[in-house]
Amino acid sequence: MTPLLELSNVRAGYGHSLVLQDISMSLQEGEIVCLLGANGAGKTTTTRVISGLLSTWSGEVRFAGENIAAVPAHRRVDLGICLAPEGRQVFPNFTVHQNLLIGSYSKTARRRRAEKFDQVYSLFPRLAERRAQKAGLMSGGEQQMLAIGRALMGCPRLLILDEPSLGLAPKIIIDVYATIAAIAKLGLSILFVEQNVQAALTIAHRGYVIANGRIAASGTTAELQSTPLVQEAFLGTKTAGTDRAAPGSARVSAH
Amino acid sequence: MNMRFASVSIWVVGLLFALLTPVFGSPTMVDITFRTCSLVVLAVSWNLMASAGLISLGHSAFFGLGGYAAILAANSAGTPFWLSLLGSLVAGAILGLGLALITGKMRGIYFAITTLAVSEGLRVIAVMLPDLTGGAKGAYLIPDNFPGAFTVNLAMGIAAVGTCLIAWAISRSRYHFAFRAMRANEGASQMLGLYPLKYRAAITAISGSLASLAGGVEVWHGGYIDPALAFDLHITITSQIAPILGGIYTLSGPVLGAVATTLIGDATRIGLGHIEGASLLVFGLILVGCVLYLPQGIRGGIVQFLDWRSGRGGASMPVPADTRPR
Repeated sequence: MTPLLELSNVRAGYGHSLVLQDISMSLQEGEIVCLLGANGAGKTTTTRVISGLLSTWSGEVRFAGENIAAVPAHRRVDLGICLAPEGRQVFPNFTVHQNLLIGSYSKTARRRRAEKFDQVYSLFPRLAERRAQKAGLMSGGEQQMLAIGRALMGCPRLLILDEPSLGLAPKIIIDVYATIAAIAKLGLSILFVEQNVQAALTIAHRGYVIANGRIAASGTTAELQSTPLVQEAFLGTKTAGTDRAAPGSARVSAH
Repeated sequence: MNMRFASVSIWVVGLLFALLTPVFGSPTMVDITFRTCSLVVLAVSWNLMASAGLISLGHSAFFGLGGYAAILAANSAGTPFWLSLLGSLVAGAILGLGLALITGKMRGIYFAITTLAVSEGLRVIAVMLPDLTGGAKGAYLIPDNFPGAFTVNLAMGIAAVGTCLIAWAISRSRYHFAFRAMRANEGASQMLGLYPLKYRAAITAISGSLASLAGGVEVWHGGYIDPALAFDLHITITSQIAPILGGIYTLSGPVLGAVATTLIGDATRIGLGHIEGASLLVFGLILVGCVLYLPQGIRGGIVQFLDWRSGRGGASMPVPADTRPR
C-alpha cells in the first residue's frame, strides 16, 4: 500500500545552514505517528517542509503517491495537509468562530463548512461555549484547542500538530491529549511533534526520533520506549559533541 | 438613538455633501469639499493597504503617477476628461501590482521603505525626462478638452463615494477576513490555504488605482503639475494622518479623519494665518492631542461615547477599533 506521506532523503534548511541532513519517514493512512527529538533537532523544520512553508534542497516529499515538491503551501491545504503550528498562532483579534471560519477558507473546505463546524464544536465543547470570545483573550490550552480545531476545519487527510503541549500546564496537556485521541478515533491520519515523550507515546502507533537532522531511531511506541536512544535524545546524556568526546576521555581514564 | 441608524444617516449626509456641493455650494464650500473628497480617496485607499498589513509610505507615488498619466494622455492625445481618468486608474493599478510583485514577502518596515523609495524614484524620473513630463518646470494642461470646473468637482465627489463603496464591498466580502488574517500573521494565513501574494497584489492594485484617480482629478482641477507637487511627501503624510486620526482599520474612520484633517487645517490656517508658523504648530498640537486622548481615533471616540450614553456607565468595555466588525 502506498503510504499517505513519504519523505525520502530530504535535506532542507534556512539560508546557508542545513538543518535536515537526511530525513526519510513514512505514514500510512489512519496512522498516528509522532516525531520526537530535543530542541533544535529539526522537528519543526520537518513539519514546515511537509506543509510547504519551506522548500527542500533535495530529496522527495510524496503525498498519496504524488511528489508534492512543487506544490506551494496554500495548495497543500487543498490536498488535505493541515497544520496546527508550533506556538498555536491563532489570530488574536478574531473571535473563536472567525478563527475556525478562516480555517475553512480553501475551496474544498468551504463546501463542507457546516459539517466541519459541527464536528469541531462537538469535539471541543469549550470552543462552542466561547465562540464569540476573542482568541487572544483565551488561555493557552484553549488556544491550542482552537489551533487544532482550525486545522480540522480545513478538512485534513493528514493533520500535523506541532508541539501541542508547548507551554501548557501538565493538567491541560492531559486534556489536549484526550482530544487528540478522540480525533484519532475519527480515523484521521495524524503526524505530531513532541518533546513530551510520555504524552506522545501514550497515543501514537509509531514514532521517529530525530537528532541533528537525521532519523536516529524509529519503531512502534513499545520499541521506542525501550530504546536507550530516546532517553539520550531527550535528556541529552549523549549529544553530538560529547558523543565524540566520550570515547576519548574513556580511553584517557583507562590508561 | 440607534447606533446603526446614526451611522447610516451620517453616511447619507456625507454622500449628499460630496455629490450636491458642486451643484449648490458656495465657491468656498465647493473648494473645501473638493479637498476633503480628495483626501477621503487617499485616506481610504491608504487604509485598504494598511488593513492587509501593508503600510505605505509612498502614497504620493500613486497620486503623482495618476496626475502625470491624466495630463500626458490629455496633452499628447487630446484624451477627454473621463477617459484620461481611466488612464490614471490603470496606471495606478499597474504600479500597485508591480509594487506587490517586487516586494514579494517583505513586511512592515521593509515594505514601507520600498514604497518610499518608489515615490522618490518616480519623482526623480519625472525630473529627468523633461521631453515627456516637462521636467522640473512642470507641465500645463492644454485646456482643449477642459470639461468645466463643475464637472471636475463632481468627479472628485464621485471618486470619494466610489472609493467608500469599494471599501464597503471589501469589508462585506470574505476577502475582508483574508486581509485581516494577513495583517495578523501572514505565515499562519498561508498555512490555512490563503495565497498571500494574490491578496497583496489585489489590494495594492485597488488601493493604487484609487490614489491615482485622486491625482488625475487634481491635475484637471489645478491645470498644472510638476514633480515636486506630484510626488510631495505632504500627500503621503496626510493620507496616513487622516485614517489614523479617524480610526485605522475601520470603514468610516478614514472618512471622518479626512473631514477632520481638512477642517482643522483650514481653521488653523484662517484663524492663525497672520502669525508666522502658528497655524502649523496648533494643527500639530491638535493632532498630538487627538492621538493621545483618542487612541482609537475619532470613530472609536464616538462609539465609546454612544456606548456610554446608552449604557449610562454600564459594563461596556472599550473594544479596540480593530476588532469591531466594521
